[in-house]
Amino acid sequence: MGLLGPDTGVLPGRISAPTQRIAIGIGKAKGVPRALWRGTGDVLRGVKEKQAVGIGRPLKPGEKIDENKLVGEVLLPSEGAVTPEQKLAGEMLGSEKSSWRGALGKAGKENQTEGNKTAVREVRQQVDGWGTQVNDDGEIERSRLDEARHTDATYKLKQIEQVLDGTYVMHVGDVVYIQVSQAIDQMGGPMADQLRSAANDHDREVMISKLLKRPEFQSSVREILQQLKDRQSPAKLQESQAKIDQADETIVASQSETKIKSTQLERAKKKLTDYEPAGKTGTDGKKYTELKQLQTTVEKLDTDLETTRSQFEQLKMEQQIAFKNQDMTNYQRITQELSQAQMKYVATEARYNNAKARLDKLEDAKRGLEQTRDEAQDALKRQQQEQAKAKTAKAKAEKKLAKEQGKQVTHETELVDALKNALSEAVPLYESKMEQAFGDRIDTALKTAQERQTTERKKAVYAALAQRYDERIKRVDRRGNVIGFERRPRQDTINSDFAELMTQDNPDEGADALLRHILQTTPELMMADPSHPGEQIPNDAEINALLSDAEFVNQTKQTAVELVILKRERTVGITGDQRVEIANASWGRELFTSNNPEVKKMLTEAGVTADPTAPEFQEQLEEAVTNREKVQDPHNPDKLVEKGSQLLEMIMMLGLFGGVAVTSTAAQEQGATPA
Amino acid sequence: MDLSQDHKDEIGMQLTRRLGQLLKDGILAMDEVSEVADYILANIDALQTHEHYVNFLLELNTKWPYFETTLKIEQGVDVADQDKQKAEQMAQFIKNKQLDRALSTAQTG
Repeated sequence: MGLLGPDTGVLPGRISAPTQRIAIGIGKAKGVPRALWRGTGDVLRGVKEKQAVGIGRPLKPGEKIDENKLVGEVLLPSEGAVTPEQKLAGEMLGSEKSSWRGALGKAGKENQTEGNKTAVREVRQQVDGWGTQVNDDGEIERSRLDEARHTDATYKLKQIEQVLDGTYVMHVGDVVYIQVSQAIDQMGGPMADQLRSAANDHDREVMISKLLKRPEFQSSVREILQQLKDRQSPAKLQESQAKIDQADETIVASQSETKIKSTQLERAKKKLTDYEPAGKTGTDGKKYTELKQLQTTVEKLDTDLETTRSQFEQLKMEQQIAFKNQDMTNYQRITQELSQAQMKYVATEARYNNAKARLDKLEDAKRGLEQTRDEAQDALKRQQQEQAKAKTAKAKAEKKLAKEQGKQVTHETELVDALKNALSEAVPLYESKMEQAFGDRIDTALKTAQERQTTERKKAVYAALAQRYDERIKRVDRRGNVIGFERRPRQDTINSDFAELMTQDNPDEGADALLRHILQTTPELMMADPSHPGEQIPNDAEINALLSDAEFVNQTKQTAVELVILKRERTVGITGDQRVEIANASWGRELFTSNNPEVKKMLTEAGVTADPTAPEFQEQLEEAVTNREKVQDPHNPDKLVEKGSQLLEMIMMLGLFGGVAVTSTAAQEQGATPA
Repeated sequence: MDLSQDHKDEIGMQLTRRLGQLLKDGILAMDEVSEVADYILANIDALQTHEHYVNFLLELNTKWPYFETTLKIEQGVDVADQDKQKAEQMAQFIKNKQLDRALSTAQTG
């Protein structure tokens, strides 16, 4: 991935110096803004949300920054400051035989506590940014209804925070107790059985309190909170509000312009009435009258001028004739008349010019007014169109805002619900984690047993057992990347193997029958043996060869028995009668005779105190696994459930595969408590 | 072979230092380091024998595959010898035209 390149969508940032780790930019990774800097990752402090949030990554060798593109500021610890990670890493690296526990302890619970606080803080930051209103400064504000949701979310978040930091005091019947116990009940399985079969409310309260404090449960809650934090609102309130504001501004400006143009129009119209003939009022406009008069005058004077000019031309001609004829009498008369006609012409011309100038002036004024009127009318029309357009845009933006507010309300409501359900949703998540961890432990134990085997074929039996009862389903993210595997029990195989174990005429032969059945139905056995290329199904001779190896058979059939019982118990369950049959069978007794001190402790607590070799051991064992004492189901007063029915499974979990150390923790992981 | 308290402390110290290095190098985040630390603390006291310890390391390495070297040392595995065996096994598969299995062998730790 290039840095600050257009292909990455990386936004530039500015180097903030002096810092121990220098921020070199702000970018996005998987859609989340991140700061990029030299050194190892750290949570950025004091960084504005829009600039950068989250954990960055170190610079890769050779990556360079285009400093011309750097803007904004990322605040990081100053020169010489040591981050908590560095401090802890230093402490761990320098630990000695006497101090490693302290260092590891700090890395463990204390850090989880910090992680819990961070998770709560990040969700709180999101909740505090809630609101459906946008104020004049463009900031989000909460209405009264928004405030109610905010209060709800804050209250629930506080409760979750208290659960995470261990300060929540739970009581039977309170909201946390009900949520968690209902979630356990709905999920079913061993944990639900254990809860139902608890002796009283106090025991149930203790059980749930312990669950709430388990790091794995807290980690599940934290995971849910982190998902909530990342669930950003799709609403674009500010964008819609900005469009409304913009439309408002346009409308206001247009209204102002309309007012001006209207005034201009009115004035022009009013003045133009002076130029108009008599309307309903019956009186001609003054300017109209004057114009008419002037037009008449100008026309008359124009005619006069023409007449005078003609007269003048006539007289001039006559004067020339008189002069030619030496008719002095007429010549003088004509000359005098010519002089008078010239004077008259000049006077008429002056009157004409005056009248014409006035007429032109009035006509220009009229045209000016008409032009103003027309322009104002056009402008008003345009403003009306603009206002209509802005009003439409505003209405659209208001509709959009209402929709965005709806989205925000939905987002907030969903988050409030999610917060309300966070603890109950953490229950199946916790169970799934435990199930995964438990499956991993079984795999590890089988792998260990496999490595102990001396031949490839024997190893292949254990490899096959590891895959026999669980199907691995790939979990992929939205981009199709494999992000893990999910275990899904192969119920048909579990049931058929369990039936093979339990339905022999001689119950003691169940384990041998099971092992033979497994060997006969496992094609992978040959596939996994490189000495038999191409072969897929073992033949009877090969199976018999394996079954003639006493050490292998004893070890493997016990493993197979433990495995199939455990898988059956955790899926469809084992009935009370079947438990008795198991306890009575020779292979079943071996389940309870492990050297694991935890198994012994559990048996003792369940009343099985006799030595496994003593005759009364069987009797006590049968009593323990068939403890039919009925207690009231806490969630259904009409229903009775068996107390102590989990003994078999708990012992199975503790004693699996000879009770090696790793399996003793399996029971702890499952939240098992002493019977 | 039973594990003495001194030996457990030696193990604890080594694992703590390794974890510190993983944190320092940025290979594990604080959250993961926290989980590993809790896991080690929760299990280490239950180790009674060297076999328990190897199983524990095996499981630790399955969950967080950063402890393979420690695991192999404790298993007494000669890494070079193991690689040689693997190469021979792969050659055998290739000779048998079982390329998938050769590839699978190559990918195994």
